[in-house]
Amino acid sequence: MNGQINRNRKIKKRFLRSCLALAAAAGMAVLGACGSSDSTAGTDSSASEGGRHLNVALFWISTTLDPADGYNGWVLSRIGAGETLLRLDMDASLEPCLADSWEQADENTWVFHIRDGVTFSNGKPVDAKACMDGIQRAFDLNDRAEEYFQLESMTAEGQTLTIRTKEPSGAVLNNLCEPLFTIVDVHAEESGAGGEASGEKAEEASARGEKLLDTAPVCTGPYIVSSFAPESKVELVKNEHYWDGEPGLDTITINQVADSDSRVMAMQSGEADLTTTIDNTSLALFSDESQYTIYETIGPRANVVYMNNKSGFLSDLVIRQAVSYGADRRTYAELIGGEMGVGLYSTALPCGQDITDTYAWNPEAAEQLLDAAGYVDTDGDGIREKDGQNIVLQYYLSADHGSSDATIIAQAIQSDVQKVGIGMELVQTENLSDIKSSHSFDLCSANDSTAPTADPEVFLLLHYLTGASANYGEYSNSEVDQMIRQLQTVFEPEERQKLAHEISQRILDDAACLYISYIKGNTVTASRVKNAKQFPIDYYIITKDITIE
Amino acid sequence: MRKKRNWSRIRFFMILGIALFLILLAAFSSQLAPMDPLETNFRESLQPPGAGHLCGTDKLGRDVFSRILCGAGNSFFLTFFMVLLVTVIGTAIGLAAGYLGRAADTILMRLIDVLLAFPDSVFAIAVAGIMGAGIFHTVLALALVWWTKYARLTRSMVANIREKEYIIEARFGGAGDLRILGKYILPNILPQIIIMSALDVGGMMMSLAGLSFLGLASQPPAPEWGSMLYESRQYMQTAPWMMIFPGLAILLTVIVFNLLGDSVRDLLDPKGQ
Amino acid sequence: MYRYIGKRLIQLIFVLLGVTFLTFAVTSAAPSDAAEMSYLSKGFTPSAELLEETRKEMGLKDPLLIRYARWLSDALHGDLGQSYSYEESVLAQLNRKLPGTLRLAGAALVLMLLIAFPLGILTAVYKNSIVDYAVRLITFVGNSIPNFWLALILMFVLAVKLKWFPVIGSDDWYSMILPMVTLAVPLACSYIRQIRVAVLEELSQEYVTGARARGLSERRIMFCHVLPNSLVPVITLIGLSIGHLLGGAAIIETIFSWQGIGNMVVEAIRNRDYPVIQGYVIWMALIYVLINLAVDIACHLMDPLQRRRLKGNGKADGANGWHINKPDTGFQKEMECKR
Repeated sequence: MNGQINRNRKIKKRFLRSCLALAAAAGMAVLGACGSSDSTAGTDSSASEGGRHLNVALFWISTTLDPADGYNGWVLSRIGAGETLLRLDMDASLEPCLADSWEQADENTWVFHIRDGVTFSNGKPVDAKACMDGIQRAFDLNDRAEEYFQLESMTAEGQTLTIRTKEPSGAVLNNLCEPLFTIVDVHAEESGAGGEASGEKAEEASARGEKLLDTAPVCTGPYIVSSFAPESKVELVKNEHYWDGEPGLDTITINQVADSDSRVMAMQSGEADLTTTIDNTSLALFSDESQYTIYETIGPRANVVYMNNKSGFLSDLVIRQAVSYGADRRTYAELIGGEMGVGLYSTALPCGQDITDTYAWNPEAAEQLLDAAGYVDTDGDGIREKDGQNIVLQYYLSADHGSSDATIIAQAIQSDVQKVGIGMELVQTENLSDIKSSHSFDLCSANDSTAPTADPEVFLLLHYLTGASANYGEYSNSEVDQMIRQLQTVFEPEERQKLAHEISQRILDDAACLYISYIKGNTVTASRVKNAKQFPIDYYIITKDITIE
Repeated sequence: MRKKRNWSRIRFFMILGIALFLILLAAFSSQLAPMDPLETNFRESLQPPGAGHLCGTDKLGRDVFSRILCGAGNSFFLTFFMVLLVTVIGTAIGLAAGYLGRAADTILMRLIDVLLAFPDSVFAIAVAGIMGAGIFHTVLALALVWWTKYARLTRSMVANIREKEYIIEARFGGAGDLRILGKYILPNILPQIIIMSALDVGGMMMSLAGLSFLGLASQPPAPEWGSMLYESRQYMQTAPWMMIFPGLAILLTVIVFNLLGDSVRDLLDPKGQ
Repeated sequence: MYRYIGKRLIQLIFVLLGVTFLTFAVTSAAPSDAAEMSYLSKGFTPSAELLEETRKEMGLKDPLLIRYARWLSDALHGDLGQSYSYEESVLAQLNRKLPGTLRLAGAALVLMLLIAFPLGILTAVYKNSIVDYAVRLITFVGNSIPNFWLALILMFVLAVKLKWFPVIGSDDWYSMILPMVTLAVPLACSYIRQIRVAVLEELSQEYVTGARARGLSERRIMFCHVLPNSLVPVITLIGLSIGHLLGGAAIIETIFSWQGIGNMVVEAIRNRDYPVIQGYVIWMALIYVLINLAVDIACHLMDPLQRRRLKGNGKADGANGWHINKPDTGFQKEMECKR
């Protein structure tokens, strides 16, 4: 036994030395490996040298940059590369962009004059034909285009573009602002590579053109995509030929940082100079004005709880009203950071102003209504009964992976509504959209942009027309249906807003659903970044005005 | 040697005492909790730890300490239930395969080969992800992955002792299969199985917490440690107590149950390590 | 040896058939099917009749086995289907994301071994000393830390408070450090314990005494004999840990916004992008199975006893002495070079 111990001691001394040597060697190996990859990282960041450079942490970068593909156009617009015929400014009203004037020839015909002297970033002039090709491509490749308006035909003549729709639609102008209709040089590769690739077959050239559209589409914005890594990074350089004055920055790096907390930390660590869509609680971390600037604006997006107007308990107006009275929306909105929701349009739009809050928080009113309707708690469990059955509602929400606003709202409503004697069960589900479209819920949470192009029409058509495809709550009111139809043929902007306001009020009075809060968009920048803006419409972030001191 | 044995016995009872204490805490959590873990109070949103709230409050103004305490009930119950479930299923299947041999054994082993081809948590994540969040699916997902361990252990032990003399004698003595299994085989392999389950409690608790951290297990507003951690992420900087305390609760509990597992092993199988 | 590998490869085919079938069956049991999802992903809610129609068209009404056979033949042609939420094939997406995860898991594995080997050996050699107890205590705690909590704490302290590390998970090594450490540390803690046990076991073998009697240096005994022999169980463990690393990566990648396959699958679960989840599980299983096959073969090569048996090369000459007589396995040579 003793001998063993002695020997072990012997091992120990020598062994310790060997161990240290091994560890040191291993350490060197790691450092060496790191060193080599470091050099590649170094070349990456060389783009940032020289000139004014901005680092942006963006929540989403698409898999391609082809604007006709999915919602990729939104990315292109956010990063300041893509532009459309018209755009929406700070108060969500129309503003000329690539088209400098327009008129309505008849109910179905719109004539645009394309601004003279605008060129694509490759120097090619932008004429009506180029615009037509871009819009046509969106209609050819993306089903969403039809939702905005039904295209009959287009003609291009010099700088004059004529668009004819199948049915009259007052929303055409606004809807053309959707970045799906980004004006992109469809033939970029063919002409650009003409010299070197003269012997190339036409097919190959067009295939290369598609490739270019995916990774570096040629557009008209203040910045040009210089490199693109799907879902991770976009590098941009200044567009020297920009039509609307000189852009304020030389280069921009956009990083995808999907997670809100990570964006916060990227700002704090100085890795990003500008970011958007920060969780409300975290905004407090940027309150130091000498270091950061916060921009906030209410957008068209709302947190909403759909009520199923046809389900067991909620088909009864009284119970819908009681739920509406019971929910303390103002507090919820404060809690999650936003403005209290009333009607379906947010206060970012003219039609969202001055809606009468029919069911302002009033638990007593809820109890009176329920008592009057004979829904009382007879068995003393705190839940009222209807026909001997406890009133317990199923509240569906998506399994919370992203923003927790929906979960907070759900738990808050549950707790408040319980106080007026209505039970609520929260059910988290992965397939909320199935449940929504099969109408198999009592309540369900959603987050809707009620006017993605600042025009009220599309949302009403899809969500509140009887039997419409996204009418999840099975709301049905023939008068409202009629008003929505009427809205389609009203062209005067103010008239449209007035009518939409009226519709919104009617839907609220029917206690069709609960608009909890209007979401406040935010942009946070380091204080040396100047002229950033938070637009109400969330596909504008990088503008030509943004600069760095 | 005897001294060592005694020490591991003392250690076992000490740790068992701590573990039982935790279980009691969890069992009576609703009586012990200073506040209702579900009651929201928006004016008290995100309060730091202090006199009123030992571990602070969360976004909805709920008392984090009470939620941790009541969450223990859910976490413990689910963990023990799961360990028991996979132990029983795994052992039963392993017994059957080991005792019957031949076809049953081959089929079982191939099935296990297939299941073992999935990295453990990958399969659980996928099952819970595809079937949708919720306790039932999580239980299913984890059970599918975990039972194989027990089946393999049982099978190999049964195959070892199946041909032992006393079993053969018993068979000659006219004992039925069930009797042999129940009276002769099971008691022989039970200690090993108990050791394995005891060692697995901590791991199971972490797996469950991991799944609910991904938002795949529990339903709001029920308090559960993993999902509390998940909720806390958003407030990591503004309310770090939401992250620290549930994490500590998991850490301490897992340590206690791992220690318990170790000491069960030392006690039942002193040669083991 | 070749027969062994051949046999294992045939087994592998059956395992893969089982794996794909199981995954396919689970996916088919999902609450909503491909027909519905393909519409919903286009932002369009189909009517019941249209759904029924599409289901027929897509062959979703056929029995499970037939659908599986069809899917399998597609998969063999490299077609794992189309992602619902991205306009991209599942295979393309996997190819894009896989390198990130492999890099992370690989680096974590290396780091883990760099921590675990020296400490494991140290604790074995200094058994029951203060060092031993201290390391064992730490490993015990480390073993009980949920890795996602560790990730949050590390991120909070090192990245946010101290600003030592970036929080944006870009591709460079620097932003890999935190996720790598988070993955490696809890794993290293269990390895330290395993390696300690394995080394102790070997140290108590008689051949060690024999070697000492022959006057071999302690260092030589440790690196030429004890370590190589205690490697076999450890390498088998590594094979199993690959699964742990790949699975754990799912949580860690989301926390550190690391662009990898784990992040991808969490996103896919969020979007209920079944083909992607399916592709993920199958790829992971494939990688895992192949690595374990390689590990098994490596162990066969490394363990002289088994190797000899496979070669049919007669008796193992006295379980105690042969290590000393035949120290020249490839691995031991390698170890000597490293000295």
